[in-house]
Amino acid sequence: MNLPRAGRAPGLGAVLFPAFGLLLAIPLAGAFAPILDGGAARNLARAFSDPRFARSFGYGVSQAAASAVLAALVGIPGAFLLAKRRFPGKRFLSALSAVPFCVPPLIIAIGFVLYYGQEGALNRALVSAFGLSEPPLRFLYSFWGVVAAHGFYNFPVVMRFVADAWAGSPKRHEDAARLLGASEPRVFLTVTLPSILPSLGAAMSLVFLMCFYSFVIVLLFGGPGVGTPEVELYRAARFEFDRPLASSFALVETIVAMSALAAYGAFERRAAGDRRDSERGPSTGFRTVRGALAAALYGAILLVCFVGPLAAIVAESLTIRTASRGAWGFGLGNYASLLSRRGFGVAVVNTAALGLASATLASATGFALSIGLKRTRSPILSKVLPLLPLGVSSVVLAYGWSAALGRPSVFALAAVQAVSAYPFALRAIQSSVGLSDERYADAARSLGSSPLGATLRVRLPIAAPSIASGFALAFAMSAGDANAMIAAPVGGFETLALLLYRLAGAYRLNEACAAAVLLAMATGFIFFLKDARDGLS
Amino acid sequence: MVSLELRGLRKAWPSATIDVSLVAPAGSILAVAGPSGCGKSTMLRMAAGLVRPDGGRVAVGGTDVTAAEPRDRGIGMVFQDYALFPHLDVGGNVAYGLRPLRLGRAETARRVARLLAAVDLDGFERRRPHELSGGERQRVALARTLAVEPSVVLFDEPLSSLDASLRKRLRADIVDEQRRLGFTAVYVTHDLEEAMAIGDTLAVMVGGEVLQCDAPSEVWARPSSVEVALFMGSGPCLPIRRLEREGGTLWARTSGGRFPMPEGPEPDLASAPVVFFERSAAGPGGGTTGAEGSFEARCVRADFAGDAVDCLMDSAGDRFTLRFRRGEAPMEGGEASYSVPRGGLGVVSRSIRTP
Repeated sequence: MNLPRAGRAPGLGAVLFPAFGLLLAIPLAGAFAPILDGGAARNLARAFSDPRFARSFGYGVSQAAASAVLAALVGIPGAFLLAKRRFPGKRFLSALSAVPFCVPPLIIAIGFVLYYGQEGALNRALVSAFGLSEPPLRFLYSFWGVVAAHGFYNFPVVMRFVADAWAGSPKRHEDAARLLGASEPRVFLTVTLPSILPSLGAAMSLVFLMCFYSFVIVLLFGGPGVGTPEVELYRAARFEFDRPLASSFALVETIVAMSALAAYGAFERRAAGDRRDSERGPSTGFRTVRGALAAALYGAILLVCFVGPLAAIVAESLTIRTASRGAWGFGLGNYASLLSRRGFGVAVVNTAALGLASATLASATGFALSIGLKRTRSPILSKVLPLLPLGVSSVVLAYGWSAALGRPSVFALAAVQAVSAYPFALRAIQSSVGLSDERYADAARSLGSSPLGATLRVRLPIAAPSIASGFALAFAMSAGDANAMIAAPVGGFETLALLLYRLAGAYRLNEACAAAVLLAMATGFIFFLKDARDGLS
Repeated sequence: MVSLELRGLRKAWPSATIDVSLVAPAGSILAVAGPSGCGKSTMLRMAAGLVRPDGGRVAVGGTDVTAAEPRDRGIGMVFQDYALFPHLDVGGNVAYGLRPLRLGRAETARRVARLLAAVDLDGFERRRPHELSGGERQRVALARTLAVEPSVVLFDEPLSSLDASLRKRLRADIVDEQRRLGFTAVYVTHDLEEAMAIGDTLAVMVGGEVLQCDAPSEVWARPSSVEVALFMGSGPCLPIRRLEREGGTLWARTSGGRFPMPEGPEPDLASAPVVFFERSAAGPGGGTTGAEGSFEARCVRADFAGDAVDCLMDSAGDRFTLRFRRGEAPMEGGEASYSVPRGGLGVVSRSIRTP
């Protein structure tokens, strides 16, 4: 039988599939090709015999694993509260899930310096509260500093993933267990826990990936001795001009990340299987005083450890330090001097232009793929392609583009950011009913629309709000991204994120904080877009 | 064999209230039928202890279990879509309730095998729930529930997601199993045909209340209220316009007919009573004795229903469906007189007052 679904006109997806492939294939080829200079085996052997190589991968994997564990420890209680309890501030806790995506890591890093640093707000408060002679917290510029920043920065990912699974863990399964004689602890261990484990696994693999690829935080806190493969790649390419070594880093790094991605995909598939018979139960108030106290304690820890650094940035941006040491006051002076800074206006325009370009690319790709993926019968295409960019770092991509084009370019930056952002834009777009339910398009086809007509007149308008959310998400990720620009700087092209990085590097922290607040306001608006948040989970 | 008693079991929300009194006789199947959203499932969950009632009592075999934990009530439940644990295999599911008994590995395996054999699933221990057909899942769910030897088993629309022919077969399996083991069963469904077929007793629940509880044939032929009659769809409800006494007989006038009233107190017109008779009780002709009910009606539409014909009738504005044997059904558009024997007539009123 000749099914009309097969589509006679080449769909939008068919055009963008290869185009998108090129956006990924060209930089990857560019990144890996230098390995062949003088023989791949020799280059890899040289890389593997370099002690930095093993050390950086050991460091990268262990800090990412420790960060994922910390994120899980912090995120699981929050997941329980979001899924099962009603309490004031629940929406705020839920909205925190956007933080890892719309607050750039650079801002988090600055917040951690201001808050946990030797001269930071927390140390100052502890010193004055307990009359100490030395600041008690000295972990920031170490392995544990990196892990703390990563763990706290990414716990909302775990919280969101696990909360969704927990809220949807079928109540009748738990009830069935109770009626079969199970005690409450046994119900949790044998029914509830297995139903949330796949989501926990998926979230932890994702956090592992994001931390493994962390660049700015490691660059700032990791110290001069060691760096993640990402940082070593950057050093090898930018300062040592050793491109075969850089490419070896890129290759092995991508292989490690792809394994984590495979784990993520496997967990996700199991979690999706469980979601099929999910059943959302109502959340209830706290049943015991002890429960309420524990929740309050958890909230307090979050405020002190997680919200604290972010608040420190706002406070610092409003603090005016004068030349005489120790004297300070509050005011908007930092903002004034930032706004009057030469090049600030250009940076804003550049940020907007780059953001629009990469968001357009990401959301168009996301939309085309969301339709194209429905038509493909190949499980590899439909499962792997949407996730693939998660396994490739923006530093590798930026490095690859520079290597392929022979010079850094703004187009390459937009392409890198679009590729990094589109898995999230795609998820936001896929949450639209119009796209998940083919009956609408089928109805349009039965009423005489062509395949393209059904897409333009039915799918697109129904999906418009979701596409807008996906667009906003991609825009925010682009505006906050400094990695690609630090890795492959384009002469004379400055954005807000890069300006922020340079200000922080020059220890102009007050102005840097003002820039961070402005940037966070620009990227944080997607906080309020529900579909965008859905795309993050 | 023990009975399950629900006495004034209450649960209230701002928009709805459930208030149920019901007895499931020991060793038999009580079917509870009612439209979707009438509170059937909540009633079951209250009985099982999964939802805390606002008031009322639950007794199993005369023992009050209202305050008991679900696992201590001796009540098992087969859920909608079965709720088989997806991460456990069939053996693990069936053994779940046996674990606290600490029988040891061998004894547990022996019992699981026996339970699976009883539902014709020998050797299915290592299969996963998602590999099973709908019917196999239902039998695993039953085996899992029966493993803990509950004295009462609650069925919460277990067949609602299956197709009609499979449903019929599985329904028979449940009855066979109940007869063999003798447990007391409460079977909730929105499917009236299923409820009548499976229930030794049938309770009709509408708007959070049990309106009638009796043998299915009795509920069918003698509904206690307009709501029950409408839910059962067993015959027309013709509003009584006025009452007339003629000789020693009280006659009720409907828009298009005249019906002798049964013995007993005169119906109160303020309660909007209706004349009820079974849909197949009416026959063509005005009657011979003069003591029958009779009405004029036009056949608006005739639907073929296999060995019968269902006719939508219009009797001076009252519309209702009658069932005729093939060959006796009127033609579409045909106007005629019909009669109903006196013994088939009843008078019912609304049980829930509309504000």
